[in-house]
Amino acid sequence: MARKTIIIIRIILWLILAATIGYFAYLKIVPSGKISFSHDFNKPSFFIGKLSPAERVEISQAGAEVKGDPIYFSLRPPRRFEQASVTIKFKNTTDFPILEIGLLNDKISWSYDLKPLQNKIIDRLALAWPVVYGKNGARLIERERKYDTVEDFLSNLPASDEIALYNYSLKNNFLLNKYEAQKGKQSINYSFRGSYQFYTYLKNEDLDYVFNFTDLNINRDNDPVDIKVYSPDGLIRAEHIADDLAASSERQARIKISDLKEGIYRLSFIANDDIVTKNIESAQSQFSLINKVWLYDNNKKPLVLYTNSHMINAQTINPASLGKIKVGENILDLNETYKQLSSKVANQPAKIELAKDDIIISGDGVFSFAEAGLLDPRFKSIDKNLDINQEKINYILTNYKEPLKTEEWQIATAEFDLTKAYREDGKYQFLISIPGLKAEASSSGAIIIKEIKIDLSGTSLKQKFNKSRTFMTGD
Amino acid sequence: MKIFIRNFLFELFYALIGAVIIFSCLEIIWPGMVLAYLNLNYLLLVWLIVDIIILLL
Repeated sequence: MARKTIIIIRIILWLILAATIGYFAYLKIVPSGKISFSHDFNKPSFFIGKLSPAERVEISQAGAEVKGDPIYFSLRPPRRFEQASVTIKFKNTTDFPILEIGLLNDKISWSYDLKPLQNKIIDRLALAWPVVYGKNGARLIERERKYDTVEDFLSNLPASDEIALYNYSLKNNFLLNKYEAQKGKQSINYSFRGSYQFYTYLKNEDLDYVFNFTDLNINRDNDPVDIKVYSPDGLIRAEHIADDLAASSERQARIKISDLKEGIYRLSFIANDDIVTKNIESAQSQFSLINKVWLYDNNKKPLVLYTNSHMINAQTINPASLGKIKVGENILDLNETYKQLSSKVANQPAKIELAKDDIIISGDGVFSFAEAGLLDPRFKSIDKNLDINQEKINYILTNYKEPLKTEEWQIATAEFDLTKAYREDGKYQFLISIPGLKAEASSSGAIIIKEIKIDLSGTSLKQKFNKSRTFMTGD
Repeated sequence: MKIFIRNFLFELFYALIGAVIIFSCLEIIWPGMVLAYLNLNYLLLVWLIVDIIILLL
């Protein structure tokens, strides 16, 4: 009898273990293809990492107070999914109008796919100006009612300087009236560190660029380089230059494309900070760096840049580069490494004078070495630096949706495509950005994140099974 | 009764050591499969307590 009881107990215990393993397998496989995770900061979550860096976040009973821009968190799903819907419950009582969330898509260039959570400028304008709704949730906010539908607006676009966009992709047929292709090649004898992108212009000529770059090998990792060329319609050429550790650190890449129609083209040079472009040779005369320029060393002095940015940021990691920078009429005293200083620019284009190399200059516009060389086909974007009235913006086109409001909190959702996202050790990296918010500067009000909820969706077990069966049978 | 408890604890001991080994292997093969839901330290602690009780009985 006793022996029989023990056998029954043994069977029960091992069945419990088998059931537990089965349950863990179920949670790992997620047969339905849908799963949700939420994190309210009260206790650690395995799936949603803690907000970092610690000096920019203060966790309390009320939630996570954001002290500086940006903050990061990771997502570790049990398996691969295709879509992520990230819902943030927050409140923003500061003067900072924009709150965005991004998903890391490329680790070399640290490029994030940013989606809006809140834009107070648009929220306020949508209350004061007439709003027209289009298909798929697009909104046209007009200073004075002129268009009845978004489609009507898109088929009869007004002058591009009257339009501002936010979270909306609109093709701009940007053409230069007096442009003539130059004869021969020009050499851009400035050294650029890491990734950069620029606009160029073509008319009856081949796109022809030769990049001479060197590998500093400060990090002993592989340092590949990717060069991508975009036409107004999208990506037209991508070149990958692998790192050969046995070869010389001096490397070269050439991009040549014929039979391109007249227009503006964007070239993206994607590399980590070990790569320094020593020189660029090109048949094209137009060269406008987009958003960021990091001039490395041995550049001819004085270093002068022109920009159409409304806000300029300067930062250096090199103590020898500390000093003063003239931005328009303002002086930025760069007196600390790794600290980012900002200066508002009253009139565009503005002149930037740098006494030293190795300073990272960034802004919301383009940068050029000649005042006449500023080439920016983009529509203006609704951000905290744009003065709607001064810039005479009459139309705002956006896909942004105002956050849902509860008594105390606001709830906003952003959708991400995980198939294009960068994944390391099974983790995705997210960013929450509040442009302008600095941990070291005091600000009125607070940005508090109460909860992060992530809904993941992907292939279900049944769909996977059907796919495998189709593949096997060839149907 | 004492013998029954001792036998029961023996069975529990084997089931727990089985659980620790299987869960550890699963965790090595598919990281996060177990640790996301169960802290193996607690399981080891329970197993240790069971061991001690068996020795004391």
